[in-house]
Amino acid sequence: MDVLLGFWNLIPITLVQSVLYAFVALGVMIPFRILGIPDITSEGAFPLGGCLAAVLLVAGLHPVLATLLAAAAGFLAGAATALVHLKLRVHSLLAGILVVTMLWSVNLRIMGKPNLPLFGLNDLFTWANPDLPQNLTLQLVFLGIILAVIAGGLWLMLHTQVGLALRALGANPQLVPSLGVNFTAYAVAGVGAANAITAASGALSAQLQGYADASMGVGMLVTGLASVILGEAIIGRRTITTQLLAPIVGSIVYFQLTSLALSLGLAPSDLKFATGLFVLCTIGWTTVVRGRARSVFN
Amino acid sequence: MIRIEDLRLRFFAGTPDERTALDRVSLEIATGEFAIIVGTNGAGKSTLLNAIAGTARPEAGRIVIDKVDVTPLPVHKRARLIGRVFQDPMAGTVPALTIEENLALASCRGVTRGLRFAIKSAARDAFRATLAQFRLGLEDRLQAVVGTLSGGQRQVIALVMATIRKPEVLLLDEHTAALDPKTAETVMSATSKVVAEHHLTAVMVTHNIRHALVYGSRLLMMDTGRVKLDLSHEQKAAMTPAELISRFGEETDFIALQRG
Repeated sequence: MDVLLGFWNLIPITLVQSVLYAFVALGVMIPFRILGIPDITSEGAFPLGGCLAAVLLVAGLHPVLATLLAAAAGFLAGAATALVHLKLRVHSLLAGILVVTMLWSVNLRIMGKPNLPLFGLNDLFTWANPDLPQNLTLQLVFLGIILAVIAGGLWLMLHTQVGLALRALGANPQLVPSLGVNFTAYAVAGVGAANAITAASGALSAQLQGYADASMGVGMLVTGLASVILGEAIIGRRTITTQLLAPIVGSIVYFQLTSLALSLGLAPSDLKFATGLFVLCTIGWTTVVRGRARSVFN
Repeated sequence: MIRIEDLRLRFFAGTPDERTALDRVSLEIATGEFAIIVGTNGAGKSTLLNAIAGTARPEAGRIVIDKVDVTPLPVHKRARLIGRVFQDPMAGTVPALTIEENLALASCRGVTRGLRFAIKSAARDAFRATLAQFRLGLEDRLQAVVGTLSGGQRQVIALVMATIRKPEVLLLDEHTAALDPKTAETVMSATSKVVAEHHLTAVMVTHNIRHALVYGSRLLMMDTGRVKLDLSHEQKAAMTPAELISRFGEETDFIALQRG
């Protein structure tokens, strides 16, 4: 009973957490699902956003501007991965690993030290509402609004002429150039935009936690991926609407499940192993049991 | 109009595996002409189409479409001049998108894409009217995902996509080869209808001798990277399938061509 009570009490805080990481899941989903370019840059874009936003806030920049600049930096990181992949013909996952490795140094350079506290600074949350840091409901509403704006914006964008070309890029990469689509430009913009969302999430996370840390991105990709496939298992991905909602639903379910697992006695240090195992089981289920090869990653 | 000047392309150049795919091909296809290319495997037919479309880069020579020298242009930049249907019905459409999304995607070929909604109701009516001509019932299934359609239906969609904005040249690369005979006839008659209706300049590669003789206004035969037979509409009409097949691999044709 105590176990369940502990879980129950944690629901508000894990909900805030899941909305925050829903951005990451969205940023992971876009390259994997829509662009057909598996990308792990989020692992470096997330701390990049957090570290840059923290430094800019300490320097006295307006929190909105700091968060937007953090997103712009994430765009550049994603664009770099896409360019390495397309221009140097490196596999996109390896290109991502290279960029993430290099970003580690970049993030330390930006902050000048491994972590940076933000206590007492005017951040995006206190700017929105001074009571926000103490009020989980307000946090949930505030983050939910930002998430809704981004997901809604993506939904609209994917129904435009540009958006249709982006979706076609992932579904039939050989065809799109013959329809006048500049593959490189679209792929760079697409992977860039996805990582801008992830970096924004890093910036929000740093501001919510009150500090930025160079290692805050570790495990981010697998968490995002787990959310994406969990969400897809629940609501599917047949339409653009469900494809965009899946990471959000998945993130909410994922963090409730991990919270439950932790309440039941899973050691926090075992969480990454458990998440990885979960991703593997899902892949194994769809490919081995249902006989659909590559269904999770394509 | 499409003019090809002295086009040369080798595969594995400088290695023991070197193979000449295009051996100084020069060719002019007039506006409104429907040229059919036949030839043995490896004769260079598909390479010629790839060179025109920009997916194969020639070592020497020039390709001019409608007064534009497209030789240095990447595929997406010359796409406004070229419509293309591939052999594989999977290749010419986007399986994950609906019929109307595929057509909307193709109707942006050659124009700058913007942040306007891709599908408007006026466009939807136009799509419906275009598809209705083929009597395949596709006009009632605009929201169907193309991946769920049959090969023949997909190939008709691919044909409509290639021509929804009138191209300067339509390239058809064995586009009926992967279809069963009945479906191949359906797609071929649809092709003939589209080409005639829009007065398109078209180049079709085929292994189907009957199609080669029945359709088109000019017949070219390629062999080892060269055009070895060039028949006008009248000469083509006088040709029988057996006679055409006998010309495959016949050396003397080069001489006949030089005499004019």
